[in-house]
Amino acid sequence: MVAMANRKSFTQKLIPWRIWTQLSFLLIWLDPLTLRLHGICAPVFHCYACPLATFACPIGILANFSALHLFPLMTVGILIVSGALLGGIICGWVCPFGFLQDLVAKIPTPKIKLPSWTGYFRYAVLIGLVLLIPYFFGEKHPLFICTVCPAGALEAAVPNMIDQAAVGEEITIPNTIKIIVTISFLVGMLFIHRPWCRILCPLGAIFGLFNRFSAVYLKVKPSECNTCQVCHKYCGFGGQPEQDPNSDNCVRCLDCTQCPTSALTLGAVFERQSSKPDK
Amino acid sequence: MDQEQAINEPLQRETGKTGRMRFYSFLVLSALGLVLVIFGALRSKDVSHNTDDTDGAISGSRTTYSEYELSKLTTVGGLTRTETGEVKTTFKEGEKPASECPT
Repeated sequence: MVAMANRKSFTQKLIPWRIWTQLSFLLIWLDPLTLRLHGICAPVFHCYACPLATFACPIGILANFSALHLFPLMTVGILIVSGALLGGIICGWVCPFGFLQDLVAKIPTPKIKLPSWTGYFRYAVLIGLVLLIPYFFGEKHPLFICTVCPAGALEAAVPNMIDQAAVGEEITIPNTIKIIVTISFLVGMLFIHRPWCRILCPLGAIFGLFNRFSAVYLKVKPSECNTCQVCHKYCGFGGQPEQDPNSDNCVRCLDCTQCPTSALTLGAVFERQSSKPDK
Repeated sequence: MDQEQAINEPLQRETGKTGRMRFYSFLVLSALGLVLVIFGALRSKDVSHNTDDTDGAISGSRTTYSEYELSKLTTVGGLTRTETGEVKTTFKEGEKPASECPT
């Protein structure tokens, strides 16, 4: 009883550490040692055209390799290993683009809660813009993911434009679709919690699939859940954590674990498992 | 003791079979991922230079690139696939493009 109470409180104690974890990882992604290891991807959404990117963007590699009709073994391997271990935790605790959206979400504006089915658009982006369009039409297609990606616009195009302006070079303006997507994204961040992750992120779609298999996961203790549905209010993604704690939309922010009965906790496959058969 | 048992039983039901399946899934996926990473690290691919790029090209005669290098080259849009299916690079070693943004 005491051990369980301690573990519950441990999950809840992790919540304030999320922002510090995101900040710490941001320092890694921003290449403080100017290593520019662009031959290796990090399992996060960070454009490697960014002047400060340490690693390559896995989505950029998937799309470019698809255009070249090559299979990126290392990238897929890195995504599988990190997804199998952490799943959506990467989106909620590690990704710099998610961190940016979390910071903007702190601006006190009215937030719209989107229905959970909007998360399926991410798979359309993954299959369409990341895999099929590059494969059949190449990297010059106007809907090639890198040419419409708001992360590329904010992390690469804007710094590069500033750099070009500073040295007096001709400024390269991003294409119209990219500008529209980026402005929509910037406005959307004010009124929707993590709009990119929620609706469009192809990397989030990949890690969402791993939520049901990952080594670290959310679990519900039915004996302690009184179906008060307070967790629904905590969930910024419109989920129903007590019914589907490992939904593919979940980014493991752990906000739902603040429920009054502490029925939701973080679990891991490394914990000692029961030898009793399921009933 | 009874109270503790009452709390633990549902948890055990939940984590028993599901937990084992998760554990095996994790093992299988991790092993698969590591195998792909190792094969990716070992793999190399033939890439031709554009004939125009004679000066400052990555290597005067080398046409084989590791997957690591291919990933790096895509940063600058330095790889293209021709109509004949050949992968070519226009990237020049040591040359930093003014803008690495693909737009």
